[in-house]
Amino acid sequence: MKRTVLIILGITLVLSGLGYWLTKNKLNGVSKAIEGEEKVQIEVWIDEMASLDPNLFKPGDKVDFLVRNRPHGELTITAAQCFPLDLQTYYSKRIPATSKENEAQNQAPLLWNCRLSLLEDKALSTSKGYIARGNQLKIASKIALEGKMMRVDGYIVGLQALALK
Amino acid sequence: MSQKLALLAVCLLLALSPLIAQDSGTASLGYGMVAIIALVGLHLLRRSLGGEKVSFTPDPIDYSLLGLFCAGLVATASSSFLGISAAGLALNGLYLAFYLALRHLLKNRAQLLILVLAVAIGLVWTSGEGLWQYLHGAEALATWEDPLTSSFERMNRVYSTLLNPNLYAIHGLLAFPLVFALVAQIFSEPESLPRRLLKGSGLLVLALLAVFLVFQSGSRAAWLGLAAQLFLLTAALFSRLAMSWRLAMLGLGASVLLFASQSKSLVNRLQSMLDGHENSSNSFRLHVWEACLTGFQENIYFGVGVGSKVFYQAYALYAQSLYSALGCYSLPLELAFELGLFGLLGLGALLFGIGRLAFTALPALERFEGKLALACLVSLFGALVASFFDVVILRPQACIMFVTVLALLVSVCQLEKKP
Repeated sequence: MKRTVLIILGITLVLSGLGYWLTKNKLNGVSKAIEGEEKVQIEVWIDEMASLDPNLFKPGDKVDFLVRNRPHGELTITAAQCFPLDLQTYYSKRIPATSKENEAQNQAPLLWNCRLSLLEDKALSTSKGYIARGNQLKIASKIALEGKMMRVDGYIVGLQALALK
Repeated sequence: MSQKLALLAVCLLLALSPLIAQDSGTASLGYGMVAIIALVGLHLLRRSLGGEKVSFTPDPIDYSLLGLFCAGLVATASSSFLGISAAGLALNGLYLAFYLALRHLLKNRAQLLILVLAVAIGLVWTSGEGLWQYLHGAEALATWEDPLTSSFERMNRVYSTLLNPNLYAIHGLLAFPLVFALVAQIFSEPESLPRRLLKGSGLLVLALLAVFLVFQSGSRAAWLGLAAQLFLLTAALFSRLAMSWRLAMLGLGASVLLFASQSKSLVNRLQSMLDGHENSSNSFRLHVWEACLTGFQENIYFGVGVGSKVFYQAYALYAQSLYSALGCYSLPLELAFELGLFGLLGLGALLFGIGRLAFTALPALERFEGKLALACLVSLFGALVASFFDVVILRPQACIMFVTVLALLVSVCQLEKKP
């Protein structure tokens, strides 16, 4: 019994050493699939966000990021801009302009389009695009941002490599 | 003393683990296993310090499990995700140590009996909740609906306390054959029929209910597992039965098929197994399998590393963007992807070891040990067939049951060999 176990452990040790050496020299399958590691700026567009507070997003804040409803983890906001919607035009398309309630609503800008820049510290550059934390980052992918007081849906509209490690 | 405590802890683990459904609760299952390993270790240490010889007769299954662990070790050393793979390997090591602890613990018939009763208690909770869900309707777990089948009548898929119909089904597949072994033993004892009925009817109802509810889980992998179990049981027992019983079995089988064919939702779900890419659930699996196969080919010898977290990271390298997955939906493929060729060899050795016991070391069926060994085989066979199409067996609740049944099988076969 001891001999069999020792043989199995010996073979394991040799193969582990060989595997470690191959990975160290980037000769294994995963290493070949990864072209590099980069910092990536993820540009996000949020359409028609309904909020009384246009300053929900501040540079330096962290938000939870979800890609196609899969939790991705926290990302740092590096830039944020929110633009009020032209409500007259917006409501005239949806609700009859003669509505008095609608006129009251139009007094304060409640709807915003926002463009945010988020920083992903470590993304793998591959032939399938950027992959970070097991998620493929693709332009036009649906995402969600979640903070203490909000959860909003949006899209990835841009991906930009910042610095090659 | 520590041996009795360890056995009690094993029973508690088996009886209570089906009640833990949330991921956050599964850590407690890990602590439970650690406690059992520590208690068995303490018991062995005391014995060896007291001058007693600690004997252990290895079985090829033990070596195959060690081989699988070693394949994990090689995959971890070769992994580009070394840290998270080491965590996955530690979990595999915990299961191996738990298996070895059970092998040291199960030394006589009374212990086997207590363990099976603990499994039956676990089945009481899941079957009770499952029956409630069957009668009163189970709330849908996901809002997603297959657009291609949504117009058909839907099954009320039960998931019991495990909050996942596939996990519930595989747990049931592993558990109920053991209860049937106990029922068979009670009914074969030389006592009067009313007495036997009094002792065994409760367990019989429990086992039959569990089979019915596994079927009602709607898990197609579990249905294949059930069919495989029925096939194995028939193959093992058919030649031993009198002609009248054989005809009765065939009649019963035909009646069940006729009854099942009347349910539109059931027939639709059965037909969906053959739909290929036309069924969106099948299509999703086929895409995942393709990606995993590519990953295996790219990392054929050493795999990508051990554990679900490594899988999550590595799978994205080979997946199509809309087909993100948490597992390969096939145990052999998952082992091939994570551990490479050596993982597949380990699985092959495990299957060979189980087959060897089935053909050469099965105790006589007249004894409880024989019935239990056959039940363990049926249980493992069903779970392994189901695992060709799903990997919920890797979830702690199911994996603990799988390891326990495996240890039971080896122990019961070795117990029979002893004079």
